[in-house]
Amino acid sequence: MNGYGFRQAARMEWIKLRSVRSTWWLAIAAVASMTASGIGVGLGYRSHTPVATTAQILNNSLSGAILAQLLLGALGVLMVTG
Amino acid sequence: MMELRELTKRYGDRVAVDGLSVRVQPGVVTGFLGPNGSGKSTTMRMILGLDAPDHGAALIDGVPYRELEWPLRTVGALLDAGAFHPGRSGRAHLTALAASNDIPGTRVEQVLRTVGLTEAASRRAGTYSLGMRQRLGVAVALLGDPGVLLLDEPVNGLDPEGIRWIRDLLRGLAAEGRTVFVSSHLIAEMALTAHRLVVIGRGRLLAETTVAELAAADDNLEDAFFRLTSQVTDYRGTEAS
Repeated sequence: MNGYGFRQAARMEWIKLRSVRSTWWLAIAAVASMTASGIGVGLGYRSHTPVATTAQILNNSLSGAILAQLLLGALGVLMVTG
Repeated sequence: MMELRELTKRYGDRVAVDGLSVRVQPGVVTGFLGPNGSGKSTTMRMILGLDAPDHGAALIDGVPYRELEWPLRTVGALLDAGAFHPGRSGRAHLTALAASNDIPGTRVEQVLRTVGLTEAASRRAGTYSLGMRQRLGVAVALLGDPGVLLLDEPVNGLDPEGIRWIRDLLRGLAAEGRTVFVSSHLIAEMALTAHRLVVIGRGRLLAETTVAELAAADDNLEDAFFRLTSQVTDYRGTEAS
């Protein structure tokens, strides 16, 4: 009977995930790109007339979400293949 | 203790391993010799459950590899010294493997010291020299303090100091009562390291003997090896013309 199971496999995969640099680069890139897009689009809207509604501001601030999702998707691929 | 029972593997119509029955005893280093392509690596892979035998079985302490309770704590293996992620440090590589079998982190530092990689443990393994990669592979094999060790060509890439180190290490591990099974095609090295020998050619057992017996039959071990394998070598070079 095998003594090892999901707990051991999960611990191993967690160590493997955090011990390569690409994990951290992708995580940082996801946060940075989303923040930068939000700020960029927000700045572009400053001169917008009429003044942006709350809903538009919220939408603009999340404009980098798709890019961040792609990067996190790449992280997911690395996680299951690494 | 390790036992191969009529172990057979076919790839298409080519038989890689053909009815191989061997008992590998604990307490001594057993050398596993054969020409290139004789089935040494395939046999090792079947013992570790990486290839399924077409017939027969490879048993470790009486059970096949995949039924072992804690595989890394029962069998340590070095098949391919390059089997690591080049971006991961030697220490992280060992720590991840240790986690898979509930081996404590202190053991990781212990094996790093044994193989002499403590200084280099934080470096990415991709930056290691061939000899250091081989040492990392040996560290993986030793990680679970296993009673059975399988090493495929462990001296490849080691410098003279490293070769002597691994020779003493293997003999020491065997003296502790472990089963040590080492493949090589360096006969001179086997003569110094191993006590018993298993010689195969084209997947068949040619001899199961001791180094002393085999060498006594001919002038030296190399001649004895060539006599045994002369009929089963797949290709052979000639003198330059």
